[in-house]
Amino acid sequence: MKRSTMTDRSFDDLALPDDLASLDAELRSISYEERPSFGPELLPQLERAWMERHPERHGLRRRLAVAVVAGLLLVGAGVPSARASLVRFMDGIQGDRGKVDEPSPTAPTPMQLAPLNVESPLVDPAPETGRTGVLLGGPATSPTAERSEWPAPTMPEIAERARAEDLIRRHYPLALQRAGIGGTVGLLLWVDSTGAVDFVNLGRGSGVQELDRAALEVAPSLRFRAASRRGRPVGTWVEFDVVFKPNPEENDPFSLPSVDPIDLPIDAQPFDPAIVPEWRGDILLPAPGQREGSELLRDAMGKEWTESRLGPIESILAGEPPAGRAPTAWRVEVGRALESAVARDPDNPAPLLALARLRRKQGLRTEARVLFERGLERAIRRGAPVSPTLVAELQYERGRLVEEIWLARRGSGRVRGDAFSAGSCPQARSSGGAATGFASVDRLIAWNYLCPGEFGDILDKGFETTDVGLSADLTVAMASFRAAVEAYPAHVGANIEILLALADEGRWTEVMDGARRFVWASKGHPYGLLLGGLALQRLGRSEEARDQFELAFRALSQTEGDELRDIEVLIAGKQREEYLALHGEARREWERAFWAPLDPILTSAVNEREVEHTARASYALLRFGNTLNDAAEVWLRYGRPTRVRVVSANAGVHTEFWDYGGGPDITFSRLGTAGNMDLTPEGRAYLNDLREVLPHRYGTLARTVFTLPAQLSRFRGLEPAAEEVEVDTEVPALLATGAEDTLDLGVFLLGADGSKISVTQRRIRAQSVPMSLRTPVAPEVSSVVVEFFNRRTGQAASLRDAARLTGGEEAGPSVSDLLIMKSVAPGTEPVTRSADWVEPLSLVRPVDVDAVGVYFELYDLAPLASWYRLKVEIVNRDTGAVVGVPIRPAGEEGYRPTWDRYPSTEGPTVEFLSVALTDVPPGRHTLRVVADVPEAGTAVIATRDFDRR
Amino acid sequence: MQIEQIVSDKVTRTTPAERSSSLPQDFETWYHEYRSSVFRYVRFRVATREAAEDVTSEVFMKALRSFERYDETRASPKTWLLRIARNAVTDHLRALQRRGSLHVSLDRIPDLVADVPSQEERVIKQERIQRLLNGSQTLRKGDQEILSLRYGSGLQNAEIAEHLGISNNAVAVRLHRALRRLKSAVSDPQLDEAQHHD
Repeated sequence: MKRSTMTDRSFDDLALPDDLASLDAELRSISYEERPSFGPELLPQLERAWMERHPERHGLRRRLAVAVVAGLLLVGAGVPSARASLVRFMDGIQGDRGKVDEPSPTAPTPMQLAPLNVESPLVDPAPETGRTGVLLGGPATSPTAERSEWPAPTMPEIAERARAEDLIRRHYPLALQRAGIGGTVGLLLWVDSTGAVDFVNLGRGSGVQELDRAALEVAPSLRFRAASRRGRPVGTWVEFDVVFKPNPEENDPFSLPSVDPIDLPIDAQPFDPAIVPEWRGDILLPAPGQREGSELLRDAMGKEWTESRLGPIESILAGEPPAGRAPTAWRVEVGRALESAVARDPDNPAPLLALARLRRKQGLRTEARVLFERGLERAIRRGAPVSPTLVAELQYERGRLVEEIWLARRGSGRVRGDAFSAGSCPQARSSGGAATGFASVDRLIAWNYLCPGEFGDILDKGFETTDVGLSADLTVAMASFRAAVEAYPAHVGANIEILLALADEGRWTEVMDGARRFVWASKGHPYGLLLGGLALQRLGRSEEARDQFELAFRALSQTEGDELRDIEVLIAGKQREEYLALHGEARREWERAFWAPLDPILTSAVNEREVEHTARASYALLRFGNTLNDAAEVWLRYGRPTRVRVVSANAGVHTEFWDYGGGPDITFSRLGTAGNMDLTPEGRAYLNDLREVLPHRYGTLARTVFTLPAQLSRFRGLEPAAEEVEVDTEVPALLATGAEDTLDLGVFLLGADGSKISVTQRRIRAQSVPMSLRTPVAPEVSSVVVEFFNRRTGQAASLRDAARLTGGEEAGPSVSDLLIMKSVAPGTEPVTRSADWVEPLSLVRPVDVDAVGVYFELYDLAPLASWYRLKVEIVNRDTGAVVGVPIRPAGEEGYRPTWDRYPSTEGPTVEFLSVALTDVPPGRHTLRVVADVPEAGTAVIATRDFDRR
Repeated sequence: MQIEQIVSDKVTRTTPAERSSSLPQDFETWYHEYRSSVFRYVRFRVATREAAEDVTSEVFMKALRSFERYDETRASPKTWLLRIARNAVTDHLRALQRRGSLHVSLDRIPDLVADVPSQEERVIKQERIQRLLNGSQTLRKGDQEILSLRYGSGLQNAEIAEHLGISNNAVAVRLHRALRRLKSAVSDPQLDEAQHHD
């Protein structure tokens, strides 16, 4: 945005007293942002106004020229060569006109800049001199038109080229880079007199939509040195090419390498149960370089190593003391031996790897990192007798060291004390940290749990991040993991770390691809299957995700499989005791019974909620080490928090605030770079309280279930104890994707335990057509579910309700649900629900007519009462206001507030009322039918919500 | 189809050299030199940037219509344009007053800028600026006029004197008084509810 700041202006000094002088200064500091394009927009309007007043000043030749231009536009605009001639022609007109009129001192001229090439990655920044603009035309270039005392006009030039290239590179879609797809996007930019880009037009597409979009997105962030006329900066249109040039080398810290041996055959089905998993047995296989490392280490240590003195060589390489040895003393002794081994055999990476691990265990992280790097340097030296697996191990260890620092500090920051002044929380008394200007952790925790609403605002306003500059660590760590995977594609740790980092970024397609390669390379490592399943679940492909998890369970040990399936944290009390007492197949059975009623989309072939649990458990297992710790518990119950903020205290204690949207954040504390996190005592108490209210939450963005708007009406059936349910609905707009698309319609009648007693399924077109579904309901049915499900998008709309009328079993008069329908005059025909004139409304949309029909049935009136009185009230659901409305029963004349009616002596008493809504304002309402039965001393009432437009 | 659109854009929009040539050269020079001054003057007195743009457009349209009657012996072009602007602002405010919508709300001033470092300071500064502007709108018309000439258009005292047809000294005295009244207006706690009155 262009700013007219006070630097443009100078002010006379006024002799003012101090108080006024400060006011004067304040007023002088006020300035305005004028829209950069405002000036250029107004100019043609003025010109038109002027030409209308003075048409005679513009000659025939000019009008002809305009006509020719218009013709060219119509005829040849789409053809590149015609466009070129158009530019030349414009040149001619302008040059000619230059002789007639004085050139405008500030007239911007169309310009073409050399393209901005961006390779991925940028290997050699192009020299500045490579970019010369080409002036296509315009009077300003004509020597006769340019007054000699004015400096030559200049054209915009890209400023901060490196930044621009970086910007463009960041917008270059990764998938396209990988696929080697590039292109040139011609843009037309308005570069204002400050050098900012105000308008962006796509001039010439690259033929790849994603690239065009990327160029359009990045353009407003580009900065130019503005064009100038007579030495003054002016705005101008500029033709500008953005060139995306793929480069086989990757520059993305997360990217996985394309290494030949793990590239999949095109038709390979890597998740096909027939080809994976070969993997069986213990996950904790020896690290890939271990055997070779042991041999190298033995060579390096020579006579200094005897098993009786230092323990097995594998222990030394792993940095772990053998059983029965005092760790500290052992490390000191082994450390000395390794140091002399390093001195004796400086080219051997094995003692460096061992010593680095030892140092890390001793807490000497900086030294450990140096040692890993030295070891790496030795290992990758040309001709070094070291296999890729050892290199992979060194890379991985180095990466972990750096990554731990990043993980410990990411999201960290502090909260300014003054942010609290805006809120009030009388219950929270702690005011610690006032002296430092930042709130103490105690204060934050107190506000979080006592005044969560206020605290959310405070965090939003007062949280200052201190994790700046950390991305370099992540880049180093990821580069190490990548190198490890390149050296040894089946490296478990490095693959997992890359995939977890991608998962944290929500880059699920890449997680899926990466997991596939890892599974392929490792011949079916279950961790790869778990991460693949997680990615598929996040992408809404729950069926495939379930298959992945099933495969993983086959390869995992019994213990790990049980741990992933465990639902202990989701249940409480007696249920939990019961569950924990079970083992083996009995436990599986209990889990199946637990999940069955929680299935959010019955129409789909999978229980999404159960798959979601396994997906969460997979992440928790790999990120938090196991599924039994506090962090895993929260993760399993509520999924990924929307935001994590970390506040650190002096002693290296980090407090994590996991934000889940509503309510307090859940707080954890952890020490230093340790991965272990424990709930703070307040967090534990809160989580226990939550168990009663919201033990767990489904919530997945990939497969969404909307509430299906519908009228679900229950009526007594003809058979004793049998009932009938009618559902009037239509495909909601969100799912009505068109006649080419199909939806699964499912009607499920469920027993009290969630078991499916009856299932009716149809394929229908995804169009909004009203439909009435009716089904008899047997006594054992307790709920009914109606669903529309789009298999392609994974979206569903679902209605769940009780299948039976409440109170039907009690003695005395009762009423069915109300069925709202189009208002008609049924005349003298008997009223039945199956009559031709009955047209139920789906209530998907608000009611916009002045009268509706209401059908209902009254039961068990006859022996008790000889008459009853009907009235209808409309209750405003927002204000609670109640108004009576006029009604007309079928077969009667005219509308009245109440009608006295006589019950049918056989079967239910059937009513159809026309209800006048003329006096009902737009809004959210409830229609209430009241049948007063004075002889029985009671009234029966039925209601139905509706919206009115 | 897309290309056609783009090319026509380019020809109609990328060749301001052509369209500018149809205006009298003097006028176009003034337009480039004084548009900012006029805009700021107007912006100082109206509630929103959009209104300021409308009024500024009106000023130049009016100036173009009476361009041939402009007499350089009577006023400099800048003074002439600002005089038109003063009348245009008065018309605009009168029209608004008839519609009763003079209230200026804080959330409508995103174009007001103060060069202060932090976001928070910026917000505080904006609130203060809006208070000053609201305050200035409660002043008498003459005070508003002189304040907008100085702080909106950034005119020198001599230019203000020329514009108002008074002496340099009188400008200083009037500015002094206007500032005094503005100061007392912004310390008036009633100000937030204050409505404009001429």
